[in-house]
Amino acid sequence: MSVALRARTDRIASPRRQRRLDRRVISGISVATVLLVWVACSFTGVLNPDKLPPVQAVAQAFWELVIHGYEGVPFWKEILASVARALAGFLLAVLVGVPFGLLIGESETMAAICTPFLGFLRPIALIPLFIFYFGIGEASKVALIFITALWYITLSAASGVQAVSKDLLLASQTLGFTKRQVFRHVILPSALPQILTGMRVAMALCWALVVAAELIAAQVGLGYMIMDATTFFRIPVVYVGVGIIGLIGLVLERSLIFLEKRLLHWQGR
Amino acid sequence: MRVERATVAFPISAEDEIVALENVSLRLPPSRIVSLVGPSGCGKTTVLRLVAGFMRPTRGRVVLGDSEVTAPGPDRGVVFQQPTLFPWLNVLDNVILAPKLRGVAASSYAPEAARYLEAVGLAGTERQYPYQLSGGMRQRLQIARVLINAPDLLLMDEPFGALDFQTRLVMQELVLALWETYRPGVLFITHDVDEAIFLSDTVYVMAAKPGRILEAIEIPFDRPRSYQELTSSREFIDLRLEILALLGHRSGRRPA
Repeated sequence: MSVALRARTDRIASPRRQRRLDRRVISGISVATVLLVWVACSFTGVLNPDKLPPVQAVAQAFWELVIHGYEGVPFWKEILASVARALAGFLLAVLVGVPFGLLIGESETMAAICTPFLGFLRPIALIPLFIFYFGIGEASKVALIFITALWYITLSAASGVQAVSKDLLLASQTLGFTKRQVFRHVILPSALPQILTGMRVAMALCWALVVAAELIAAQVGLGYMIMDATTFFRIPVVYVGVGIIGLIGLVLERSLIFLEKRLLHWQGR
Repeated sequence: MRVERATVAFPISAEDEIVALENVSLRLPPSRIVSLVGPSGCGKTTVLRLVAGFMRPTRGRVVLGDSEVTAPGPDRGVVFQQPTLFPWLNVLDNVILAPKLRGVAASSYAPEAARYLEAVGLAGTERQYPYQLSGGMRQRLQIARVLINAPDLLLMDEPFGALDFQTRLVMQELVLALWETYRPGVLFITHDVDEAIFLSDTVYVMAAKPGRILEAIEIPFDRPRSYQELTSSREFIDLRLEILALLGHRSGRRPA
């Protein structure tokens, strides 16, 4: 690229970058304001420490969790238990759901057989049944998360295949591609954006669901911890749990967005 | 290549059908440029789809050499109106995908790709992605992607219809330059009468309802042609009037 051209693209690109920066600054200020109000309230004593704990109490609870763990279980183990359940169910669902969805998208018959069930299924309603069948151990939670994510990922992969441009398929035929080559080099990359969107939504759902499942039945995990802490009025611990759950959810979402940006750079967004 | 008395009809009830194309016959001689002009809805694109092998006629047939056309193939490269590029591949990879998948050695397709990209004026853009290209550049890329398969026939479906006037002229001259070098047969669909005359050896004038061919008009001008010289010549203007009269008369308007 010549120097002159680079200078021009810089000038074109800069307003957008500027705007994105502005948004980040505003978001930062917004978060900082809420935190500041909380800290200010904490030190003036207007908060009822039994209901809405001051920042010192939450910080102290966090520190104690890190040092001593919760009820004899190290804090990292609580975190790992939840993350491992979510990721195990999610990854299994990706492994099964993507090929399954591609198959449904490709075959009219498979679509006709499967879509009624996929349309009918509402995974969260299955929590009690899964506990009934699989008990309250790891299996029931991973199975629940697996089914939920499978549902989403399958649907998105199938609709990704069905949305492939007809003209692009015709073009591939005139270029002499075999059926297999069309699938591998045209249908799969065409469906990728929708597959990744499905994965992102599924991931968010998995993380919410693992916490929900742990609230109902578990001996370890962040959901269990906040439920148990609430029962014993250890509200600062609950706030630490809520904060960590939120943070991990954010990290999971951000990593999938990062993956999307890397894999879908050709969309030019 | 020939289309012989092809009719395309869609049944709407047990007895009734909609006739999209009626008794269309045309010849696509090797290394000749043939255009189809006509109003929208006259079935120009349907003819191209028949020749490409995307569909088969209800009656009549499409013949290539001694055998009937039943499927698409790389011997008939199609340039679509809306560029159908692989958006996840860069310019170079778009061009080389077909030979690569056919098992051609990289040592053979790499220099060819470079040559065709040069020929269509895309040298230097190899690493760019389709979203970074202008409308005209996308069409250039489509043409390069088809040419690397060395097709006998280039099927172009109103390829420049969405481009601005200036770009369209540049692209028309590009088609002629490429034709001079590689000499494929060309079937060119357009509603632009000037474009049809400027490019073609033969112009088929079509009418709608049902889609049919009114007349085949031979274009006598020598090649290479120059747009300015040609379009201001007496013969060109007469031909244009003749074709416009055919089109105008048949759609119920007064001859131009």
